[in-house]
Amino acid sequence: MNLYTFASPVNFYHLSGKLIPWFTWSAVLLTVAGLYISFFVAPTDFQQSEAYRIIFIHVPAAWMSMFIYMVMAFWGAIGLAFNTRLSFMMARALAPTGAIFTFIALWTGAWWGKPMWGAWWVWDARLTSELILLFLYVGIIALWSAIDDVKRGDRAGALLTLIGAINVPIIYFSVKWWNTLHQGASINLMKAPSMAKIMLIGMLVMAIAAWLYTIAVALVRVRGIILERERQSEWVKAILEREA
Amino acid sequence: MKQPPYFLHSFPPKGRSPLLGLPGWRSDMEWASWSDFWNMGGYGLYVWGSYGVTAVCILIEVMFLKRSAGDTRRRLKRMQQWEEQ
Repeated sequence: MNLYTFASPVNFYHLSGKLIPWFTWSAVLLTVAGLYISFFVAPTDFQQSEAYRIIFIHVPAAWMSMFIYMVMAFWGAIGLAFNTRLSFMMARALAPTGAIFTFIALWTGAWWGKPMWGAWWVWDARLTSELILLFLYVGIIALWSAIDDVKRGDRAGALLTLIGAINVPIIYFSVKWWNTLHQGASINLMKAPSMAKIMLIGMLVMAIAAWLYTIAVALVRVRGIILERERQSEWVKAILEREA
Repeated sequence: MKQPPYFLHSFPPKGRSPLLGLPGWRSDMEWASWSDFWNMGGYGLYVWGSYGVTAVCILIEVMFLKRSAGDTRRRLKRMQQWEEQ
């Protein structure tokens, strides 16, 4: 038995079934811990007062929106290069969650921008490139659902994902390359180093929770996709006998 | 000498959060009351507007996922039974 064993859908189906509860419950625990830090441990910001507490979801959501896209691009590239079935399924399973985190990043950004900048939205490089990321997610999902042939759909989606991947470094470096209203790396936001630390810890806990959540929901989704695609096989018939 | 991060000044924490009754490092600057907490220093609308919509997004995703997981299995099962006939 080696790592490649789990590249086969049947083994992966069973392995992921065992892993999902672990990811789910650790995500729940870390979310509770993260929210506790966000509201009851982290002190008031000296400049932004309590409004800054949006950071504990805004920054992890923005990180996730970019990470998930890169992971999708990775699976797409693997799928295109080695024609592995499971990698395309993983890419499809991740996209909706990536789109949701992108929306959350934009939404919380708007609700932070309004009190701090006086505007819900500005066409600045960071915000615009993040909006393009949302359109990429939506476009990739739409492309998949528009192509009935699963294999062609997989390849077209992976190709679009890879082309769009150029946008991720643009989002990341936009605050450096252009003069944006959006502030630079979030750690510079805080002046007192002691404050920075607990805020950073809060952000990291929420980010890890977001990761675990993403893995849990992506695994649930990929299991559905596996069943759908392998429905002719005997093992799926046996599972349906039990689970449906 | 470099100061340790302020939340480690007293570990384990000596104070208690007046709101939750849980250990809190900042009982001195803790929310005075629940209305103080919901008010968020006057930024309540923005903070809760952010957190609320995020919670709704997550709940919707989990709900849809649960429902579609069951739907997929039932649909495949039906197809399978249909094919057997």
